[in-house]
Amino acid sequence: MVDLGPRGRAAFALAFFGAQLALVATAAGRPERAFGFQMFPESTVVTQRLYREVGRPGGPTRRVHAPGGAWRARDAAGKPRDFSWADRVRFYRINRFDETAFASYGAPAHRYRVRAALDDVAAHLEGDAETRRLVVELDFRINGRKQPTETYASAPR
Amino acid sequence: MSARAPGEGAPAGGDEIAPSARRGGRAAREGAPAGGGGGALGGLGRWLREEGETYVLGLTRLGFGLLLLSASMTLFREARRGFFRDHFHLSFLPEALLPSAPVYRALLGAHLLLALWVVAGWRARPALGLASLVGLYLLLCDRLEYHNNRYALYCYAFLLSFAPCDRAFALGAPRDPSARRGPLWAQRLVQAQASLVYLASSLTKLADPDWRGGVMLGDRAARFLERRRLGWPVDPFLEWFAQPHVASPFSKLVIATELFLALGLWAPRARAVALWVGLFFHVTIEVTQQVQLFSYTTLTVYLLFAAPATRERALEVPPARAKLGERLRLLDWLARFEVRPAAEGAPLAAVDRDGRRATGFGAFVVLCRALPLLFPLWLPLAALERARALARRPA
Repeated sequence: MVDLGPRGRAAFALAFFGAQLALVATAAGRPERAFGFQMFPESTVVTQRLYREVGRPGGPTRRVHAPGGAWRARDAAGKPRDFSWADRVRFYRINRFDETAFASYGAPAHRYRVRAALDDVAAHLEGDAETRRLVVELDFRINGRKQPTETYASAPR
Repeated sequence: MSARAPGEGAPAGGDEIAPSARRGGRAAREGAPAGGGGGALGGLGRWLREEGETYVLGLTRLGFGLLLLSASMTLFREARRGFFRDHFHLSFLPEALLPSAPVYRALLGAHLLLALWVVAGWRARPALGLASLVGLYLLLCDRLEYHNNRYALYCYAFLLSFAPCDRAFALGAPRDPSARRGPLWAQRLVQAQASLVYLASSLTKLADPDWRGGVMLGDRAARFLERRRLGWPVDPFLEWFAQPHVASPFSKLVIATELFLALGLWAPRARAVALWVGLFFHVTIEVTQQVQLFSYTTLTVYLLFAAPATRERALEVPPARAKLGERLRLLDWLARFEVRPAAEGAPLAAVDRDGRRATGFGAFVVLCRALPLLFPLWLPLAALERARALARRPA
């Protein structure tokens, strides 16, 4: 292991804590406030619901609830197949639907994760010829206060 | 636990302390050359050149080895759900810098192996540095599994690898206390990192009206009770705590406690109290919130706030109390006491580092301050002893 001399020690300490302070100061810009040591930033619970927009390409669509994040859809050959959000999303904080769960690291982190997951799941629905878009509704309760319902949709398929 | 300021000299009256105590203790720290002049620059110079006993550093390294092992187990548990890139994932790094499945598995294995080396004390410092870098890389790869407690663990471990933490509790460690002396600058950085964590945590809470006002803390207690019931005494406490008129002053107390810990751990007069408050603070958090490794990591760092010296106190054990003396020696994890025989019929006595000799209740208070397992008793007993002393003082 390198044993630093006094100048090296001072330079190392300056560089390390300079970086630490920069990360702490910019933590609010990251959804989960990573590297900021902000312990227990919020008390947030969330109820999320998953919907599919189904319809023919180019035609009108209707929104269908996918209870528990699971649904059945036909493939291109007309054969029914089962699909689940959890097949693609293993991270348990964002794969529970229609129940109230703790939003780890607060609403911004949960929102960021779900929005990224929406596009990812929609892009990996091989065999689902019906679903045009996935839609998630989020009902947050932040520090005990109910928030307006937020709706996010994936990119169209 | 014992605590002394960095570079603080031994107090007067140490003549009653055994010569070997001075060898391993005061003399160990006196080897630090002067930093040149007073003031901030002088202080900086002293910090860069400070030397002392590294016994407690070795114990802290052992603790961090066990924490890294625990982190390894968690990483393997997470990996059992499948390789993170085979499913939805988020990363702090660009995709091109993410590992393939075989490389990921190799990194998990390396993390485990390095943690075992840290525990054994074999090539402990490079192992500690590499384990922290591997851990940080894995943390950056899988953003969904980012946790403050893991980031803090790797920051501490990385800094600790620059300290001579391989001279005690390690394979091939020297037995001679004088060979355990080493530079303490990196130890001070680990301590500074602890203060930074407290400061960042407390200042962001202070800036948040929901935190200051107790809204967040009260709701968190209520939500915790909704999810999990732990029975008496935790549940009744949380029910009481969730009430706004209780949560509001408690929030302010939490912020004040974190600020006190950030600064008080560095003040020689306040340090032992800060350690005691911090111990209860983290035990309370762990019991009510279960924050994975964070409490254990912080309490392990607390060891570094003990004076970098050994055997500065003495325990005088009469033949009739030899068994008790042996048990107390086993509890002396930080090597604070030199155990020496007392005359037949003499009481068991503890000699504090200022030379003050105490017997009976006073001796027990000295033991409570220096032995980690008894430390939770120290503050109330010390307050009681002080009150009794004041009551005995003639008007």
